[in-house]
Amino acid sequence: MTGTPLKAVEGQLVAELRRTLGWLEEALDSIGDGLVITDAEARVLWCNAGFVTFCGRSKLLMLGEPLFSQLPRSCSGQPLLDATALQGKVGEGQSGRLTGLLSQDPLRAVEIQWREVKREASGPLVFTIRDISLLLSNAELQSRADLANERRAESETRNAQLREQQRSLAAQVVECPVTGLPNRRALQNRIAEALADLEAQAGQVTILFCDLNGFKEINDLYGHHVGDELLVEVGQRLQQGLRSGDTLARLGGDEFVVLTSGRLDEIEALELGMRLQQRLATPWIAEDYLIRPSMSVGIAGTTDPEIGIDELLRRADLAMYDAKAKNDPKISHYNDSIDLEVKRTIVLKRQLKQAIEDNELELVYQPIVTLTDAQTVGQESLVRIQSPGRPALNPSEFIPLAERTGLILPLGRWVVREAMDHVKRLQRLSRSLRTSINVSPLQLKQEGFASWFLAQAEERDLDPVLFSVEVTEGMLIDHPEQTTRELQHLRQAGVRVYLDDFGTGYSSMSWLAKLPIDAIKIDRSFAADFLMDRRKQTVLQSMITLAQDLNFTVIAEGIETEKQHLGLLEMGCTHGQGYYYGRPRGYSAD
Amino acid sequence: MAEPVPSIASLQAGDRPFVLADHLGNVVAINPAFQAAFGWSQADLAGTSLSRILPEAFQMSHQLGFSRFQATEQSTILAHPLRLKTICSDGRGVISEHFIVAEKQNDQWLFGATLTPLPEDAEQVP
Repeated sequence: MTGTPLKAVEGQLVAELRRTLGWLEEALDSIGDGLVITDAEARVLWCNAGFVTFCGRSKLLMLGEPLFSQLPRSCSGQPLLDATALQGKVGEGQSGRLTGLLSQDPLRAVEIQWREVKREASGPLVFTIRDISLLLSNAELQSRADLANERRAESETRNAQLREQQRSLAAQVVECPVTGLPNRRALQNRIAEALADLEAQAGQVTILFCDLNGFKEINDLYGHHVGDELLVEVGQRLQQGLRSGDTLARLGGDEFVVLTSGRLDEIEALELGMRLQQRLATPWIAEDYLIRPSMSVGIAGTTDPEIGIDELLRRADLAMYDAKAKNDPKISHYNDSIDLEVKRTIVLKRQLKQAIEDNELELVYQPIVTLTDAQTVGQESLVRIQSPGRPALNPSEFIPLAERTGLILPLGRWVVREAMDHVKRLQRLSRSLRTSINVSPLQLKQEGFASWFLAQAEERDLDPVLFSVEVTEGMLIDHPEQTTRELQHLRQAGVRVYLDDFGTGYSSMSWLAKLPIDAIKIDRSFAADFLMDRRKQTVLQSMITLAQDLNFTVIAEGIETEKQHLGLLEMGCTHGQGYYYGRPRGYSAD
Repeated sequence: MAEPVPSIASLQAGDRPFVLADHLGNVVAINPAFQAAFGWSQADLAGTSLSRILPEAFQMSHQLGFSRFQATEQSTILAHPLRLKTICSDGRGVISEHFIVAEKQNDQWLFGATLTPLPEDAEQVP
């Protein structure tokens, strides 16, 4: 029985307190001084009308914002108050006062006072801003302004001196603090010396630019302390592989550079690179993790003493990027074509980005048929780019580039939406057809890709069974957990999963049974060759048989002739795709 | 001519996310659209302060402004749209248009508000 009256009393008390607080706020709004309460980081939590008028901004826009950026600037263009005035003092019962000159003619000056509310652990600050123009004589005001300017000038000079000292100290550091190897500065000095020697006596300067493969993943997976330990280990291993007189430096991140001594021809440089790669390749154990380090090596040499340090490093760096894209050994020598290739890639990337932004994309569709009667039972959507006034971009170039640059994400989203719109159009014409959409590894690595895909179908009121996604083996093997989860989600909703380009990658038969797939698409190279190549025919036959034993649909890609069609039919293949049945074509309502 | 201020009942009958609060600023009810937009359930919010759905930096000003209305019955924020953040049950802030009206019923003030989520690039978001 006591609960209700108590609650009523509490409610009454709260109502009374509210009214009192309300009158107080009303009163605080009626004074001319600006009042502000901020948190310990000086973000505005409350202010009165005087402060709103002073700043000329609405209260709602200032809440949560830093006080410093709300205040007008002084007549000299400096902030009236900045973080340095409060720095390091929060929690120490800090308080302060300063005077700022807003204009000289007419005279307008303000005094800002602040203090910390000591009782509150969160350290809120209360600021008062008072117009003191009428309280000061012109001379006094001028003297205060001069004093403030003097202090600012002194402080700026001190800061400039400190910066100079720091710069000078940094210039003396020539050792990488993690590995103890010479750092970038030391390397630049040594390359400069080597190039200067070339002036005096003809010779050659060769550098090997070494970049660890997958170092970011190691850092992400095992933490930076493991990454740092690995860098030390790499430094030691590479050091052991050098010849007498060679210099190893760490450029930064996962980049090491070897400056070789003496004249080195291409073969010798390649041998040195391979030796360093072998030294590095021994498995390394840190904190129970087994890591197999590897690296890509770019080699650049010059006999020209005028080449410049940066240019030599740039060439080796470009060669290293070229090496990264190669199979083992991942080593490349710089040559002009690499430079051209990089420039071409830059142009292509710009063109691709522009095409995505300007919506110059098109989907074309190639039929998938049953081999027994050549009936179209599905289609694969393929993206094309046709910018006006430019030659069409080749998908075999722009898709891998989009993968490397992350542009595949906006491109992939467009493809899914467009393919679904297309299926919707077909549905309205009562011509529904299961449509395959190629999905990139990067897309599938995005958490929630399957949910997004299904939401797109739902938005268009489309049954997910009308779609299949085509994935490659590599992505299933490189990221099995994430991709399997996303693909299972899609399959549960009715989307079919096709394993694309089968036979070109790992193609481990034992893997096949474990993968969350419904069909395999046999790479076009098999259809092209099996009639002439007995061994390929045998492999093809065993792939078809195995896939069928595992209850997968088998789709042969790249069928171009009747002979290939009949041959595959005879081998038990049930589905096919290729020019023999139809080229990829844009949508037409006919 | 100024548009007539919509009643709490009309806001409550609409399909926008809606919250009803009593004279002390405690939540009385929310509608299903509110739950769908911000994740809070009726059980989460009923009887708790409205400030729970506001960003931390807004809470002090909200409490004082609310108190001031209790004292003076005057407000500068009622009956016109305000762009503010609304805090969801998972802690995210969603930019929303708040439209608040107040009505006196049985000598006690009652507050009703629609909070309509806005696109992320909506301008002038405090």
